[in-house]
This record gives sequence, C-alpha cells and structure tokens, in this order.
Amino acid sequence: MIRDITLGQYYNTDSFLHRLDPRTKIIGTIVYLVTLFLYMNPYVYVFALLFLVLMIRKSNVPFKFMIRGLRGIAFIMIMTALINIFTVPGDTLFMIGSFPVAKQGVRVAVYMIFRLSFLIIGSSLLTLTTPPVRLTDGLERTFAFMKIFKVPVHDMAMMMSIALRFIPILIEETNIIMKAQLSRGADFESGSLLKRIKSLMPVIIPLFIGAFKKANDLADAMDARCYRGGVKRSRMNPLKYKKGDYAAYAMLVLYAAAIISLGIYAKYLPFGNDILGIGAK
Amino acid sequence: MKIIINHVTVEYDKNLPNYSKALDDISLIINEGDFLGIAGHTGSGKSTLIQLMNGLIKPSKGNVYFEGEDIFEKRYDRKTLRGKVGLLFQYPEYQLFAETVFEDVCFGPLNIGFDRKAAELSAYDALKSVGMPDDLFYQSPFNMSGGQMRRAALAGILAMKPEVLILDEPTAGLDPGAQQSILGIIKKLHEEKKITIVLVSHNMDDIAEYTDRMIVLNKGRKVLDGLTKDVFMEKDILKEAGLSVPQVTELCGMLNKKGFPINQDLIRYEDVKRELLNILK
Amino acid sequence: MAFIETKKLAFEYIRRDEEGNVEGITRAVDGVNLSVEQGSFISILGANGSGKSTLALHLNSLLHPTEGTVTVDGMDITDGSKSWDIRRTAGMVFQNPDNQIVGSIVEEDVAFGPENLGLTSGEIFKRVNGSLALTGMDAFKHKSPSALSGGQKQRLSIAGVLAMHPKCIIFDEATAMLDPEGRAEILSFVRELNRKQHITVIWITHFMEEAIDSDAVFVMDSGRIVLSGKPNAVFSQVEMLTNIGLRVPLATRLSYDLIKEGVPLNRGILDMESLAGELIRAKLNSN
Repeated sequence: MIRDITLGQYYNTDSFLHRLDPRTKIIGTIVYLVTLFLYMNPYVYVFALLFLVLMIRKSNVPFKFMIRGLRGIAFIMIMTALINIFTVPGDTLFMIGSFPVAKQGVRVAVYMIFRLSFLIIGSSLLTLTTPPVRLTDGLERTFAFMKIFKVPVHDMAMMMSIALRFIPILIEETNIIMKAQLSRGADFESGSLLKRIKSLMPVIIPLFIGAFKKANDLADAMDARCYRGGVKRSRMNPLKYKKGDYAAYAMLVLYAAAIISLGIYAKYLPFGNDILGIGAK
Repeated sequence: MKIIINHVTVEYDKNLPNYSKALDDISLIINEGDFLGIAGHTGSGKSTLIQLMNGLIKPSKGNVYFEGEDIFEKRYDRKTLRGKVGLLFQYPEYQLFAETVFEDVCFGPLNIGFDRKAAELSAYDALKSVGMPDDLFYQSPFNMSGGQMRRAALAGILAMKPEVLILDEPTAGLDPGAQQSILGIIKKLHEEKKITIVLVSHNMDDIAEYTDRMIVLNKGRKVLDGLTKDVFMEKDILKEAGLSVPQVTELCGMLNKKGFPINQDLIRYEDVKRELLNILK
Repeated sequence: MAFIETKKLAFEYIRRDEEGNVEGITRAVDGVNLSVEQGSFISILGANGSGKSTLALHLNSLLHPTEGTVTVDGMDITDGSKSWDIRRTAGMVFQNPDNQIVGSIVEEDVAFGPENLGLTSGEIFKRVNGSLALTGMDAFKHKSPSALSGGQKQRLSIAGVLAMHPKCIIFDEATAMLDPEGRAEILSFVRELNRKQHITVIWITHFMEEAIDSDAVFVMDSGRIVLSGKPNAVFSQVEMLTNIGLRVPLATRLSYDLIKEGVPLNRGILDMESLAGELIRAKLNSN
C-alpha cells in the first residue's frame, strides 16, 4: 500500500504543465483546491472533473499513475465517508443495525469521496510535474511577501524540498525494514487495532533512527557545499514567466469564473439544488 | 533436500512501464549441511532469490518447497518457516529497535511462538555464539560499534534456532577486522551447530574461502551451479556475469602464463601458499 | 607551509547524561600532525572508530579542534569569516550516496554548491555542464538520482563538489557502500582527477588495497597516527596493521607469509602482478 503513494513524487517527462513556471502551478493548485470547497453541486463537480482530466492530459503523466495514488489513501477516504454517513442527520434512508443512515449523509459522503480524490490528484499534479527544487523556488517566490511578517519562507521551502526528495527513499526503507521484521516473525496483519499499532513499533523506531542519521549526514553534506540559508544564494534557472504562463493564468481565471457561475446558478438547473448547506440540512 | 526452488519466475510491476523480471525460470536445490555461495552482479536477482526462500516474495510462476511442503500454499505457516529459514538482511543493524540488545534478540523467538523462558534461553545462547561480551547484553543496541550491532542483529536471527541461515552481504560496510570475525562466526555455526548456510557476497575471495558450493546469477538467470572450485574455473561465464575470480586464482593464472608451473584450479589462500612453498623450497 | 597542515590536532567528544552532566570524554583525535602537499594523493587508513572521519570533518571546517590548529591553503579553519572559502577550497564526498544528494534532478544537485556561492546563472550553467562532462554524467543530466547506481551516485556527488572548483577533495569512505565494480570505478576516476586536474586528494578508507597508489599513507588507531610513509614501507608492517583491525592486500600478506617460510622475496609487494614477477624471479634463482 505504501508503495502506491504518488503524492510528492516527480514524474520525469516533458509536457505543457512541466514547462509552466512553478508559481503558475502553485497558484493554479491553490485556486483549484479552493473551488472544490466552495460549492457542493453536481455541475461544479463535473466541471472540476473535466478540468482535472484536461490537466492530466496536459501533463503527460499516465492516468494509471494517478489512480494508483488514490489507492494509497483509500483507507482515509473510506473512513471519511463512513463518518459522514453515520453522523450527518436528516431524512432516514435505511438502517444499519440500530444506526439510521440519512439521505443527506450519503450525499455528503459521496461528495467527500470526490472532493478528496480531486484534491489528492490535483495536488499530486503539482508535484508530479514540478521538480522539487523548482517547486521550492516557486513556493519561496510565491510566498515571499510573508517575509515581512518574519516568516522564514526560504527555510520552510528548503525543508519541504528536502522532505520531498527523501519521501521515496524513506518509503523504500520502510519496505525493507518491514520485510526484515517479517523475517523475524513479526506480524502486521492480524489482531486488534491496538495490537497492530504496537506491532508497527519495530518498524517505526528503526525508521526514525535512520531518518535522524540521514538528517545529520545531509546537514553535513549541505554545510560542506557552502549552504548558508537563503543568504547570497543565486539560481541556475531563475524563475521567469513565459507565454504559456500567461495563457495558463487566463485559463485559470476562466475556470474559476465558470465554477462560481455554476455554483450560483446551478440551483436553476435540474438536480442542481444542492449547494453546500442546503444539501446537508 | 531442504529447500527446492522449482522453475521459479518473479516479476515486478507487471503491466507497468518499469516492469522487470527479477528471476527468470530458476531451479535450485539446497541440501541439508550445504554451505552455498550466491554470487552475482548488483541487480542480478540475488536479493529476490533469498527473499523467496524466506517466503517474503511470491513467485509469479513455479514453486518453492521447504522440507517437502509448498511454502506458498494458502494454509502454510510462513511465520514458522521464517524461524526455520533465518534471513539476515543487508545492513541488519538498521532493524534493531528494542531498548536492550537482549530484548531485541528475544523479539524473533517470541514472535514465532517460543514462551518467554525459552525465548530468553535461546537469546542467551545466540548472543554467546556470536561472541557478544556479557556486559553488553543489557546495553542499548544504539550505542555500540558497527561490528557489534551487526553481531546483535545476527543473534536476533539465530535465537529463532534456524535450520537454514541466509546472509545477504553480512560483511558490507564493516572494517576488515569486524568482517573477519563475522565470517568466523558463520563458519563456526556451520561446523558446530550444523546450520545450512547460504551466503550472498560480492567478495569472490570470501566465497572461495568459505563455501563448498556456489551458484552464479546473471540478469535473473542461474548461469552456474556446482562445487565452488569448479565454478571458479568457468572464467568466461563469470566474466560475462560481471564477476572476477579469487585473487589467488588470478595469481596462479598469471604465473602459468609466464611459464611458472602451478596448478590452475586453486582458489583458497592456504592451498596456493602450500603449493608455492612446495615449488619454491 | 604545506597546503593542508594540522598541528597537535585533538578533538574530544563530550558525552552527557540526561541532566547534562559530563559522563565521559572520548578523545577521538589525539595529537595528529598531518601535512599534505598541493596536488598529492594521500590516504588515511584506519578501522572503524579510529578517528579518521573526525579528522576529515576538521579539514572542511565542519568540526573545530579542541586543541591544536588546522590550516587549509593558509586559512585557519577556526576563522569563522573563512568557512565558506575553506569549504569551496577543500570539498568533501561522504560515505552514503543517498544522504548527500540534495537535488531531485542530477543537474540541479550539481548546481547546489555554485548556487550557494552566489554565482551568476550563466557561470553556474558553465560549471554544471563542465562537471557533468568531466565525471561522465552528462547522459544523466535530467534524470532523478534514484535512477542511478551506487557508483553513479558517488560520481554525481563528486560532480557537485567539482562544480565549486575546489583545489582539494576529501573522500570520507566514499566507496564503503559500493559493490566491487563501483568501488574500482570511483577509485580510478579519482586517481585520474588527481593526475589530470591536479586536485589534491585525501582518501579515507579501511580498504588497504585502495591506498596502494598513494603518495603517502597515514594509518590511524585510537585517534593517533601510528604509521605513516610510502605505501610499501607502511604495508610491510603486516602484524601491526592486522592488530589494529586492518587487512593488508592479499598479495602483501602472501609475500609476507612466504618470506616467513624462507622464500627469498623482496619486501613491500603490494599487488598480485608484482608478486607474480617476484615469484618467477625467485624460481629462476633457485634453479
């Protein structure tokens, strides 16, 4: 399962999205994520899906790769859906044992699954098409204004890019340690939830110790290569907006406008009477 | 016949772009009392092969039998198998996790169903047989030297009382002194405790010195299998697999080429030394 | 003054318990005098825990001495204003390939050092391309480091250091985690760097075979330099080296054993080829 997490990985190829300036993609991702939370009606979601499919096609990243990423968080999605199904009150649809399941609950659960899937795929698109160092640059520049509030933007961006670089390595290490403990008779799959969590300790402890060692080594290696935070640091590829970026921003504005219009006017369309708030009541 | 590997193929990432065949139609019999060497270039399938014997990787085709039973049969108890076929991973010190060495060594036997007393007795025995000094038994495994951590990890496998012990590069990363002592321990386990040993190594001198029989893997296929001294005579096939012959064998070859009459089929240090003394004195 | 010089260098690790009280002091480096000429290839040998890595970290100003002095190209490593100059003068390649690669794309990783130096983007491009060409890594320019073999990852680490245009590179057990092929590949490449680019090399290892062609060898044990000199002189101390956890090259050991049994061979044999020559000579003489 842990192998399936695609969030945070970079997919090395060339595409329209790969060539965009990271700032464009960061702002695009933020706008997209915000639109997912604005409304809850089928038109908005269908349009958001269409936009997402278009972006995936523009990224040259295989569709299978994206779906694989969802498998990794299937558990979280199912949990969220279940919580919603059981806790949202409303018109009872049917009973599971003594628990009433409301029509509204099912509806929210369905939206939640779509929302989470779009959210995960949307944000993985950013990391899949942006090499971590470019991503860091982009974040640093996009949020540079926060430096006025004494936010250590450079350091945070650097930490993030390193975390991204080490995710695949740590995943690989987790696999190896799990196998090694399996071969010492460990059992991660049976018993109660508590027992299972306990059985993970022989994996988590070595993983952490290894991560600390890595962090130490890496800090030395960065020092040795004259790293001193953002001070005096220059760039091989300074960020520069190109034609594609302006086109992308234009598309983004159109997309956001379309979502907002659909959100407001969907209630006049068939099955559209379902804006967040109304649906849940 | 302790372990039988019957026409086994292992494929990774089927249907994906990075699809690869890690093992390609391999058959191998390991007999009780063998000291078997496995040699192969990085990526030749060595790790896959040994993880297969331990039940950690499933074959795509073919079967693996331990003492006449198919280890991938649904009802087969693989946990018990992992006690009987001990597998020491590469850099095993990164799997230590408990507060004391002793507690860590007890982990394996407790997992495979030893009661507390039996596990502790077995742990003492194992720590003694790897030459761990008594005063380190109750120390944290994380404050010890690399060589000692490696011994602790080996003891963790031995405490499960394995009949077959598989070692993946047990000397990697150690200094020469520690390398010698680990190899010495393994030799003693084979001679005194009659444990069947499978040794994976990059070092042809070590394979020549310690094993009786060896196999050579190249690109997932078994290209040589036989007595170690015979296998090292197949210079062309070895070269194709990216491997060399033991240094002393190379010396004999050089001497012969220059008309110095020495047996060409010597692979062990002491044999070459004796032969040279016979000729020169 | 020599290019790198340490005088009575000592470094102590202080171990503290949970309350911060001093539990014990380990003298990891103890009175080391080292002098390395510009352009030379020297090896520092020692078992694990002999203090060789602690010594190396001083040469890059990553550690500061408890006692004694260290100068690199005339600069005192404790002079804080010189840290960056020292680090770009004496670069460092570490043991674990994965733990020293910062970038997620080969080319970006090589650029990391020059970027920290604040060079212009044109200059960085030139240096990155130059380093990649020199290390034979151009073909992997746009690849992810995780797609590289161990040997290639270390080549990449070397390229990253070379892009800072150092005069010296310190290799701290840079081959310990590689397979024999990768080890041989890296060592021969570093020798070439030393010969053709005149880069001073400090090669730290516990494999004595790797030190055979050095201009000078320093052997460390418990923080001290216990042997130093030309490889063939140092390697002839077979027993002492074995006692401190090292293993002389097989050819050296075999010739040593044969001499002990009365075979008249020259001392100081380091590789199988010269041993073969010596044996043939001995055979001819005995006839």
